[in-house]
Amino acid sequence: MKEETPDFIGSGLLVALGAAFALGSLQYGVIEGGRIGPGFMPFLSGVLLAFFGTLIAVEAAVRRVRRRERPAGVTEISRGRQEVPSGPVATVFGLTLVAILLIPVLGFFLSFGLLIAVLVAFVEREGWRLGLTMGVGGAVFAWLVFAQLLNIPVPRGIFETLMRI
Amino acid sequence: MELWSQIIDGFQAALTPTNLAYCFIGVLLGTVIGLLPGLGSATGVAILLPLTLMLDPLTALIMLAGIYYGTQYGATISSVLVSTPGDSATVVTTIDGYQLARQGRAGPALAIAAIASFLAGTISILLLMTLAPVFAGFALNFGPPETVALVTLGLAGVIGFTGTSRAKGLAMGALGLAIATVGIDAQTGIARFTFGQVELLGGIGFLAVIIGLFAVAEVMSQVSRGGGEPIRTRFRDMLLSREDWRRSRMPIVRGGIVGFFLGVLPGAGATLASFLSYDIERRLSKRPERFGKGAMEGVAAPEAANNAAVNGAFVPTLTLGIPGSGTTAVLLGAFLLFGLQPGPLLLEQQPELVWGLIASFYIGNLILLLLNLPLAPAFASILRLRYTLLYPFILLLAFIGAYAIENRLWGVWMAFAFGVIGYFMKRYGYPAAPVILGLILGGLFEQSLEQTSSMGGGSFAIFLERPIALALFALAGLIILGPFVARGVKALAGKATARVQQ
Repeated sequence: MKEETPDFIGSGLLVALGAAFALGSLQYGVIEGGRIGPGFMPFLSGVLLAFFGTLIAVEAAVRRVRRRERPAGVTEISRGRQEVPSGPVATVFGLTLVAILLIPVLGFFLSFGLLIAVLVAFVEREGWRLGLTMGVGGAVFAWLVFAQLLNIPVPRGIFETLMRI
Repeated sequence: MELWSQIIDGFQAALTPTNLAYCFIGVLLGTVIGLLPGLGSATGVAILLPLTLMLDPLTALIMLAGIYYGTQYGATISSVLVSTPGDSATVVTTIDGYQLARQGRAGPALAIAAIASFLAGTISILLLMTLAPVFAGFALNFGPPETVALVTLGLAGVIGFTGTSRAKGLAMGALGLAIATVGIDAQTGIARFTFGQVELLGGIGFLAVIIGLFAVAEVMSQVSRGGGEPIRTRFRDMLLSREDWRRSRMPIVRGGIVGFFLGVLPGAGATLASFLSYDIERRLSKRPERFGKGAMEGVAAPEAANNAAVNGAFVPTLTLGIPGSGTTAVLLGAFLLFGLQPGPLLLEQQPELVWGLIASFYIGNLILLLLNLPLAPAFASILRLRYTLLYPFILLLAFIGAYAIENRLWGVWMAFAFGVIGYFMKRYGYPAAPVILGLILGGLFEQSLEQTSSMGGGSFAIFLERPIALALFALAGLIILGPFVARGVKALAGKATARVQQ
């Protein structure tokens, strides 16, 4: 992927989103009886989003042209974005999604205790013993602080059913 | 006299055992959060905000503000010891702080940072106490057109929070405004962009968005990066030499004043203040070559400036309802959650809350000094924790916080969705703070725009009759277009010079 390609993609997405807001706002009435209607603000923000989204593409295009014009051998010092390997991130996001999906079944603490255990033991390869200890420790700590001390009615899943029995 | 009695009442409110305890917890948690690379003040406040909902508003705000300035000092510790700034405002401290640590002078470097923060905090709180009522008094005359202009100025200021691309910052502000329109329109009761989903009728809650964009996205960006190994330094001597103090005292005063006024400007914030004060000291120094090689004033000045900027940022937040930094944008959300509308009337209607909060800044700064002088080595040992073992807990805290907003899973889903969006935003350089600001100010902007339209009988020409609104619009335009114009002028001047030389 070329250096500016992500900016072109981001710009396209923002322009599309801005257009969707602007067009969607028309059904609510942008101007009603000479005054602004409920659709005015979504219309204005949609138009602004599309405009600034377009500017991002223009900025990227100017950068690309300048880069091509630069004589060979001259390299620009990158100002910041560090590349992050996307593999582990996708795994962490995926596992977090599974943990959230499991909340109604296993309850909040067990789901996130399992998430911590799996992340530590398998994703970070710290060994299953440490993973298990941290998972159990995290779940118990969270239960003590949030459910017992702060009285937050966190979903308990099967534990709720078991307690009723 | 009335001001003094209000200040005394404020101290009385802040000095109750409960508020004192939460102030202590806030600065302690803030220091720990600030130490951890990648967890900035906005993230810290975002994660812990939902957990303060059951507290009294003043107590909750005292704790959240404590987290805010506590993180600044925590970030300094990691800047000095491992050359990893925990927050963008301490990046410049790394330059000389880390060099001092390598020379075995980490102790004095951390001590001067704590003292500079405290002294600059004191200067800036005095300025805050003096200026806040002036600002509020001025803003009392604001009507809907001025509010529209003020929000525009606040949104224009967000590009100061952003990294390299102004277009990206502005687009993110517009995105926040667009998201704010989802849900029932307050004026007409019409449901907008809800797609038949009951959950969307109340709009997209900014707190879940904050947790997603700041906490979850931040963790994901840090995953697989890990932290560095701390350098071994002895903390036997935390005492400063007389020479250190002599060299640092004036930079602290200058840094405090510069920091406060830059903090007041929307969008300028602590990072710019720290860089500018470092630059000022280097220019004023008789031996500028020492900067970058372990100059004590290279730590004292930026630390004084970033702490003062934190207090400065509260001036527009409290008196105008326009945040001066990313974290005060999050804190503005906290005010709204407690049913408080920051603005000129807040000082009049809730003097005890405002002065109590300001007094707590002073107490918090004192706690921070007492805490950090002897405990810096203990805090430093936290840096030995590997990030790989830490982030699963941060995820747990973030999602439990998202659940606790309304005690339903919807918040968790929103935080997750915005976590994914925020990760890609972060990866490709789209700043998160403008989205939050747009989302928080969107409602006020729309309401004021509607009222302005009614005042003008459907026409916005009324803006032309309001000089304050026009001045604020002009300032906003200057912030957005100023650098482009300056660049254009510079390019033209360059071409003209080249032509003359030919």
